[in-house]
Amino acid sequence: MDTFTTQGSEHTPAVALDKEHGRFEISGRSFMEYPLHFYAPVLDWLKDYAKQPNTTTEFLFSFDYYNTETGKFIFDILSVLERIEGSKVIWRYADQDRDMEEAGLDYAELVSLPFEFKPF
Amino acid sequence: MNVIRKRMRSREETFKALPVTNTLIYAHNGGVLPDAVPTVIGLLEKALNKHSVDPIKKRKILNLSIEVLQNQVRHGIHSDGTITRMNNSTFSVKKSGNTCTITAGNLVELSAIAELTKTLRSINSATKEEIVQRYRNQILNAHNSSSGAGLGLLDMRRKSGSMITFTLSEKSTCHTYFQIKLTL
Repeated sequence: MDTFTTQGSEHTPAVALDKEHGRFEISGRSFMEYPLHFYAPVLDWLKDYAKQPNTTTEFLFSFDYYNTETGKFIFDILSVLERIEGSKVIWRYADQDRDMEEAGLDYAELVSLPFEFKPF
Repeated sequence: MNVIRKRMRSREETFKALPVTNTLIYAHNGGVLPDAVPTVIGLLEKALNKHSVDPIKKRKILNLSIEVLQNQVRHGIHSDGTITRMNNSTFSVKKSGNTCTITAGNLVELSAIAELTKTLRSINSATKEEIVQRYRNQILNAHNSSSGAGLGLLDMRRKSGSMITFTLSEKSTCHTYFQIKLTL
């Protein structure tokens, strides 16, 4: 399976999806006005991966901040992960960033996935 | 030379002793096109760095400013698409002591006022727990046609931790000037 990587920009996150090396990460800032164009290929890759996933999938989210439109797509990604056995979410956020911690708690409440919170 | 230094020190001390007043960190007049929001956020970030705003508060201000600006883009342009209407938009960030305020104004159609007022009053009167629950419900139904209504406002209320102050002042027979202020 091909890897999926994109460099981050001032308003789009960096994405690294690599089945072979077990690396699944989204990090940075995400505040595009129309995030569908950005996240559709990410979701497509993940749905493809879900057909033959690794035995464990640790998906790292490490956002500085994101807009509410992006928030909807984070939920979509988690919904796909929910269907992949052995999935786990690592929610990384700046220490004392209560907003980002609460955002992770929201998702942990909304999906049936194990969450690990990692302040840095 | 010593006299000059003494005078400078004296001025610095006098300045420090002045009561805390509003400091304008960033402001612009006129609408922002969708593609320009990242540029505005970049300029705002530079201004916040210059004013030594605490890093966590800085993230909050940037995040809320994005929501405010994208709300303006969504509701301040599309209906008639004219530059004149966009030019009525304003956006500013001020600092007073440890408190920051984000203020934004734009024209909205009179027909949208009743619903907007109802949504804002409902959000302002909700408890913190109710806001969290409403936000989660909206995320759950994220891609339903009407789900976007109010999600940005819920986020503003939640992250600012205070009520969204808003004013409406009639500008013409079909438009009202809508201004919101977030205090954090």
